[in-house]
Amino acid sequence: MKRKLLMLFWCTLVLTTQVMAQQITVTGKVTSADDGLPLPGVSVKVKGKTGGISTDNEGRYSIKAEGNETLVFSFIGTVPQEIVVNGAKVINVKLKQDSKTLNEVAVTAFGVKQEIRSLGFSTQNVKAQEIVDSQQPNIVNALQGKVAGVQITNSSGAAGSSANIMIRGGSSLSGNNQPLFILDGIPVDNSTPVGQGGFAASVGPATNRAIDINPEDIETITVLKGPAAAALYGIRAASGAVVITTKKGSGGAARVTYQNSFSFDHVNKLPEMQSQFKQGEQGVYSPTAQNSWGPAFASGEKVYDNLGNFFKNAFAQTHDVSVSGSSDQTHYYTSASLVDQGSILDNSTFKKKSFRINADTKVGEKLTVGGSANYVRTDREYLSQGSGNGIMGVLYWPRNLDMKDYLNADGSQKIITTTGNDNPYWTIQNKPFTSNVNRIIAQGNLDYNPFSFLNFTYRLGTDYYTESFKSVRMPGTVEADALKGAIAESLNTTQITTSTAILTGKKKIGSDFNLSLSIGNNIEMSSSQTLNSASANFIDPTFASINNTKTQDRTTSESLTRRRIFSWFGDFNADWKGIAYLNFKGRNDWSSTLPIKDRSFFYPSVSASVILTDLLKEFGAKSDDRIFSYGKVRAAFSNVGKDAAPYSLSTALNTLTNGFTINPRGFIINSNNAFGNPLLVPEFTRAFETGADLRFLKNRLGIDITYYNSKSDNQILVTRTPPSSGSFLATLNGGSIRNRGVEVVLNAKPIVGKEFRWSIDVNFAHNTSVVLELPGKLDRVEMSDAWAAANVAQGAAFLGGSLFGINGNIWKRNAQGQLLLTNKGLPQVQTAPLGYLGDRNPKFTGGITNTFNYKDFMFSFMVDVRVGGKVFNATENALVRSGLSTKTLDRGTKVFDGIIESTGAKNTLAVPLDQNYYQTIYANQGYDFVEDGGWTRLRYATLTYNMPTKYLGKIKIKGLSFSATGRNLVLITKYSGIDPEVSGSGAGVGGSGSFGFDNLGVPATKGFDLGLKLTF
Amino acid sequence: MMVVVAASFGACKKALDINDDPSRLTPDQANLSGLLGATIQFTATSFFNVGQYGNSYPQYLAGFNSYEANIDSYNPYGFDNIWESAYRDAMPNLKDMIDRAEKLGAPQYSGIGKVLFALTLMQSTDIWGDLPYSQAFKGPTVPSPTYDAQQDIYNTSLKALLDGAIADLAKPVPATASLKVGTSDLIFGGTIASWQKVAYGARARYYLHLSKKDPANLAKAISDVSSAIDDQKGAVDLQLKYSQERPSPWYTNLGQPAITAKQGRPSYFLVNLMNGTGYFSGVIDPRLPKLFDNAGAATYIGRPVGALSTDPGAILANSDVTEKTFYGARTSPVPILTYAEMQFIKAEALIATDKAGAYTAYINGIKGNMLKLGVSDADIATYTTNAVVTKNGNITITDIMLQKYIALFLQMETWTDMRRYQYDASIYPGLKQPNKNLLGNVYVQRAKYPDNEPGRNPNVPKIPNQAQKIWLFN
Repeated sequence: MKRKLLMLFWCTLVLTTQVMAQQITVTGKVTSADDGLPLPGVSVKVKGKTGGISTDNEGRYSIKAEGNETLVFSFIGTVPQEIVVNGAKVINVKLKQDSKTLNEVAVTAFGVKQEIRSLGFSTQNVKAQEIVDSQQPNIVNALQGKVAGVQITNSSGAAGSSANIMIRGGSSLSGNNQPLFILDGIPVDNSTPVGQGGFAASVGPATNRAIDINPEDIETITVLKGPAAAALYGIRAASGAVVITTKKGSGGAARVTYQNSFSFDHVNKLPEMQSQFKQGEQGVYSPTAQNSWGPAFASGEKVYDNLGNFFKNAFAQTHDVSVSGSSDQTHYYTSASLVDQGSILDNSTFKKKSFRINADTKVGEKLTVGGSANYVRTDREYLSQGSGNGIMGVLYWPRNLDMKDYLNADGSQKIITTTGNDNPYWTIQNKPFTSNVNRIIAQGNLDYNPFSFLNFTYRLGTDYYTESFKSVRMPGTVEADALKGAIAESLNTTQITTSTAILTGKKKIGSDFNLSLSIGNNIEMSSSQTLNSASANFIDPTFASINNTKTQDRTTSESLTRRRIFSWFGDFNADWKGIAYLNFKGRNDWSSTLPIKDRSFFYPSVSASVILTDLLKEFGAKSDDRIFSYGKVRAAFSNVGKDAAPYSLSTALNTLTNGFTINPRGFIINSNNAFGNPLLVPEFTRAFETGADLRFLKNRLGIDITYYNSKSDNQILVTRTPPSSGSFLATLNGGSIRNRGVEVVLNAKPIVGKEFRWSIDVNFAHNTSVVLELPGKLDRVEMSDAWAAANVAQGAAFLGGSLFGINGNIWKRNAQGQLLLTNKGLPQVQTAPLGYLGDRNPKFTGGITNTFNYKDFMFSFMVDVRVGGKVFNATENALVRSGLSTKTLDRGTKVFDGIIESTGAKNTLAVPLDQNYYQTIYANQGYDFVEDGGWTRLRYATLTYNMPTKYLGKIKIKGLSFSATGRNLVLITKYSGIDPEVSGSGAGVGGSGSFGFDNLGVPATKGFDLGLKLTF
Repeated sequence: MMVVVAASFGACKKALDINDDPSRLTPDQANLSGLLGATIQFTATSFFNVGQYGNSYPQYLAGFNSYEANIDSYNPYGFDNIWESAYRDAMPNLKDMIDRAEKLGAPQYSGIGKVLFALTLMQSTDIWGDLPYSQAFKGPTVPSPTYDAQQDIYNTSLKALLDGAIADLAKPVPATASLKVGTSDLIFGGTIASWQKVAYGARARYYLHLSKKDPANLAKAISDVSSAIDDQKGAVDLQLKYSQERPSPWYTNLGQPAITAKQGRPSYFLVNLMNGTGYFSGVIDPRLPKLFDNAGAATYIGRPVGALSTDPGAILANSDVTEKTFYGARTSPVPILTYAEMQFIKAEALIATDKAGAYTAYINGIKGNMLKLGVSDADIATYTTNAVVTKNGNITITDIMLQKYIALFLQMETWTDMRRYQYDASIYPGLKQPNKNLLGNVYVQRAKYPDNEPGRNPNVPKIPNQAQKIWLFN
C-alpha cells in the first residue's frame, strides 16, 4: 500500500514537471464591460491552482499557464469570468458589473478592505489618477474639492507651504482638528510646527509633514469622515482619518514606469495700491520716510510698480521612476522620485527625494509576510513673512522709489530709515529660513490563516524623522534684535511606533447569516525632542554661523514630549444574505497623558446598513435594475474619546539662569506655560450620522446624501485666562462643540459610448461648528498663535457662536450702534473686550469634476466653490499703515456720523483724515478689514493623450501618455486682496486655526504643467 | 498567542507612567529656597513695573517722545504690565511658597512670603480698588475669579497677611537646614531680624492708609514704626539691589545710553521743589545732581506733565534720568520700603498731636534719604538747617508730604498719599493737572482694569472712568 502511494506521488511529480515544461505566458488587459475603463486589482488565477496575480493600474496582467488550463478573472463587485487558455498568448477580458453589488471597496482599519456597501457610515475614495491629475506636490492639496465635507486650505504660494485639512468642521477648541493620517496601516505624522527658532508662526510658517509622502506612490486615499469610521483608530482619529494605501505591484512581469512633469507658475492675484501720494510724513515729502504719507505725485513723475515687478515666474519639475510586478507568490513595487520646486520669489524652494520599496510574499499556503520602507529627504528654503520686515515689505515701499535698487556701492543695504523696514530684495538674499528633513517610514506585517475561519494579522511600523531648522539674519538688517546678525537653529526628532495585532474569526450560520468577530490590540508610542540654539552678533559680519558668535551671546534649550497609548478593541460584523449589515465596535484606551484614575476609557459604536434594492428583490418586489439600480440606507452612532496633550496635568516649571541665580536650579517660574490641571477627564465626541446611496439608470446616475450631528464634550483646552487666575494660560476641562451638516455626492455618466464618455462628480458640503458651552465663565477661546495686523485681530471660538470666529478690536459704539466719538470728533477703537468680527467658516463648499474620454484623449477639470467664510485682510491693514492702501486715498476731512461720548451730543466736528487718523485709529480696528472670502475657481484642468497600443507595440513600449494641466486658471472672488485661500500662521494652529487670515504671506499662484508617462 | 499579549499588556501599564516632562522641573522638585529667590525678584519687578509708566500719576516723570501727553494726560491706562508681574508671577508664587512653608513648618519662609504678598496686594488694591484675591491664583479650578471689595481686602485680607507675617517671623527657627532661610534671601541673606523690621514697616504703611477711615490707626502706625526699619543709612531697607550682570530695570528702561528716545523726564513740579523755584523757595536741594542729569547746565528744569513738545515750557526741560543718576545706574536698587518712609509715616501720624516728635522724624527722614543717595554730611547739614526746610521746627503737613514726595522718587506710594489728601492744593502747592487732561478737569483717581481681564473674566467691575474714586479715598 505504502509503495503504491509513493508510486502515485512520484507519478504526479513527473507529470507536473512535464506540464510545467509546456507552460506559456499569457498577457492581456481587463476592462469594465460597462464603461470600457481599465480595471486595476483584478485577481487573475489559474483554476485549481493556488497563487495568482492581480492586474496593474492599466488593467494589464501577465501570467504563466498551460495551454489547456482555465484562467479565472474575479474582482469585487463584478461577475467572475472563466476563460480557457487554448494556447492563446493574449486574452483581453471585459468584466460585467454584478448588479447585486457595487464595485467599490474602502480601506477602513489597519489595511482591511471592506466593501462600501457593507458600511454603515460615509466614506469617500480618491483614486491615483485624480491625485496625479491635480498636480500637487503636497498630498493634502491633492484632495481639494474631491471629498464632500473635507475643507482644505493651502496657506500660501510659497513652495512647500503647509496645507490645513479639516473634516466636518472641528471638534476641539484648542487642540488639533486635523484628521489622523494612516499610511499602509500605520499612523504617520502630519504635524506642522507652530513657530520655530523663536519666530512666531506668522513669520516663518513651517510645512505639514504629510508633504513628505510621494503622491505617485499612492494607489488610493480613503477619507473616513465621521468618528464611526475612525473608531478603530482610536483617540487620534477623533477628527477623522485619511487612509492612504500605496501601490503594491501587480500584473506579472516587471514593469518600469517613468513619468515627469514641468510646471510654470505666476502670482494669480495682487491687492490694488494707491498711486497718488508719495513718500513722506504728515503730507510733507521726506526721503527718510518709510511710508507714503507725503504729498501727491507731480504729474509726469515716475510711479514704480514695485509689487507687480517683485514676483517672477516659478519653475518646478518632478521625475518619478517605479518598477513593479508580481509573481504567483510575491508582489513588489519600488520607486524613486525627485521634486524640485521653485517659487515666484528667489530662495523659496522645495526639494524632495523619495525612495520606496513595498513587497510581500507568501510563505507556504497560510502565511503572507510583507513590508515596506520609505526614505524621504526634504529640503525647503523659505522667507520671512507676516510683517513689514518680511518679503511683503513691498507693501510698505514708497512708489516714487524703485525697490529693485537696494544695494549701495559697497554691497550694503540701501536703507530708507533705520526705524523702517528691510528691502524685500535684501531680505530674500540675507534672511533665509531653511528646513531639512530626513525621514524613514518602515513597517513589517504578517497575515496568517491557520484555518479557513481564522485569520491573524500583525503589523509593526515606525515613522521616524529629524528636521533641522535654521534661520539667519545677516548684519545690516534694520531688525532691532539682529542689527549685527542673528542665527537660530532647532533640531527636532519625532518618532511614532505602532504595533497592531488582530485576530479575526468568521462563522456562517445556515446559508443566510455571516458573522465575524475581530479582537485587536494596539500599542502606540510617540516621542518628540527639540533642541534649540540661538545666537547673535556675528564676529565676522559675512559669515553666518553660530560658531561665529561670542559664547555669552549663545542660548540653548530643549523640549521633550512623550505619549503612549495602549488599546484593546473589538469589531463584530453580522450580515444577512449580503442585504442587511450590522456592526458593533468597541475600544478601550489607556493613555499616558491622563490622570491614573481616568486613564482608561471605553467607547463603543454601532452602525447598520440595508441594501434596499436587494431587499426588494428578495421579496420579489423588484426584478430589474434599469431604473432604480441600487439603493442603500445607513446609520451610525458612535463615540470617540480623546486624551490630553502630554504633561497637561501638572504645572511644569521653567528654570531661569541669570545674574541672580542663587542655587543651581535658578529661578523658578511657571508663567509662560499652561497651568496644569490634575483633574482632567477625557474628551468625548458623540456622533450620529445617517445617509442614503441611491443609483439610477443602470448606475449612471448616483446620489449619496449624509446628515450628521456630533457633539464634543469635556473639551480639554489650553486657553488664555485672566492673569488673576494666577496664569496666562491654563488647561481647562469643559465646554462642548456641536458640528452639524449635510454632505451630498452626485455622480453622473451622461454619455457612455465606446469612443466618447462623459462623467460628472459633484461634492457638496455644509457644516456649522457651534460652541455650545465653555468652561468657567469664558465667553470665547482665543488662539494667540493666530494674531494678525499688529494684534488687531485673531482667531477665536465664541460661546454660542462659531468655532471659527474672528476676534478683534472694534469701533467703540453705544448700545444703539452709534459711534462714540472723542471731544474732537474722532472715532475710538475699543481694545478690551475685543469684539466679534465675523465667521471664517464657509456656508458651503463644493467641488465639481467633469471628465471626458474620447478615443485616446481624456480631459478633466474641477471647479472648486466656497460660498461665504470671512477673511481678515491684514495685508490691507498693512497697506493702510503704509499709506499705500486705496482706503487712504481720501485725505481730506470728514464729519463722522456719531455722538460725542462725553456730552452725548450729535457730532458736527470735521476731523482731518490724515496720517494720524489712518495709522493710529483706522488701522487699529479690525471691523473694516473683514471681507467675504468666498470663491469659484477652476482648480485644475487636465488633458491627457494615451498613445494607442498599435503604435507602441512596434517600439516595445507598453504605454506612453502626455498630459497638460492648468491650475487655478480662473478665480472669481469678491475678495479685494490676494487669493483668499490663505492661512496666515500656517496649518499648525490648533482649535479655531489660522485659515481666513490674510497676513502678509506669499500670494498664491496659477500655472500649468506638462508631463509624460512612459511604461515599458 | 493572546495569553502572551495579555500578559505583556499588564506589564505595559507601568510603561504609561511617562507623563512628567524630563526637560522641566515638576512642582515637587521645586523647593522653598528656590521659590524665595524667585518671589523676591518677582516682587521687585512688580514694584518697578507699577512705576514704569504709572509714575506720571504722582507726576514724578512727564511723558516724553512717544509717551508725551499720553499716560500723563490720563489716556486710559490699565497698568497691564504690573497686572502680569503681580498677578501672574509674584502673588501665585508667593502663595505657593506660603502654603509649602506652612505645611513643612518653615515659619520664616511663610513670614517673608506674607509680608511680600501684603505689600504687593496693598499696592495693587491702591491702584485698582476691588481685586481678585479670595478666588484668585487657583489656576484651572477657578479660571474667572470674582473680585473682592477693597474694603474686605483692607479690613480682612491684608490684616491677616501682615499680622501673620509678624507672628510667623517671631517663631523659633527650625533646626532643619532646608527649612531655614539662607542665601536665596536676595535682600537680607537670611537675617530674620531685618525681615521683622520690614513686616512692622509694612503694617505701619497699612495703618497709615486706613487713618482717614479711623484716626485710631495713626497710633498703631506710630507703634509699628518703632519696631520697623531703623537704619538711617538704608541697610535694612526693603529693596532689591541689581548687579552688573543683571542690571536694574530703571537702567534698562530709562537710564542706559542706548535709549535715545526716553519715555519720560523728571517733571516740572518735582524739579521745582528741589531747584529753589517751588515750595522750598530759594533752597537748592543737594539731591538734584544725585537724581537727575542736566548735562552740566547751570540749573535743573523739569518738563510739564501731559504736555506736547510744542507746549510752552516743554522745550526748556533739561533734566533726565541717566546712568549717571542714582536710579538710572546699572546697579541701582528698586526700593519697596525704606527708612525714610518710616520716618515720614511717623511725622505725618504725630503732626497733629506731637509737633516736636513729628519734626524729629521729618528731619530724620530727609537725612536718611540723603545719606542713601550719597549726599555729603556738609550738604546734609546745610539743607537740614535751612529755615525754609526746618520752618524753625514749626513744620506743617505740607512740609512732611512734600519731603516724603522727594524722598520716595519713582515710588508709587506717594500717589496713594496724594489721593489720601485728594491732591489738596494746600498740601501739594504748585501741583497742576496735566496740560492736556483727557479726564476733563479732575485728577486721576485709579487705574482702569487692564486689557487682559475684560473678555477673559466677566467678573471685572464696570468702571465709568479713572476719575472714579476707590473705596480707600471715599
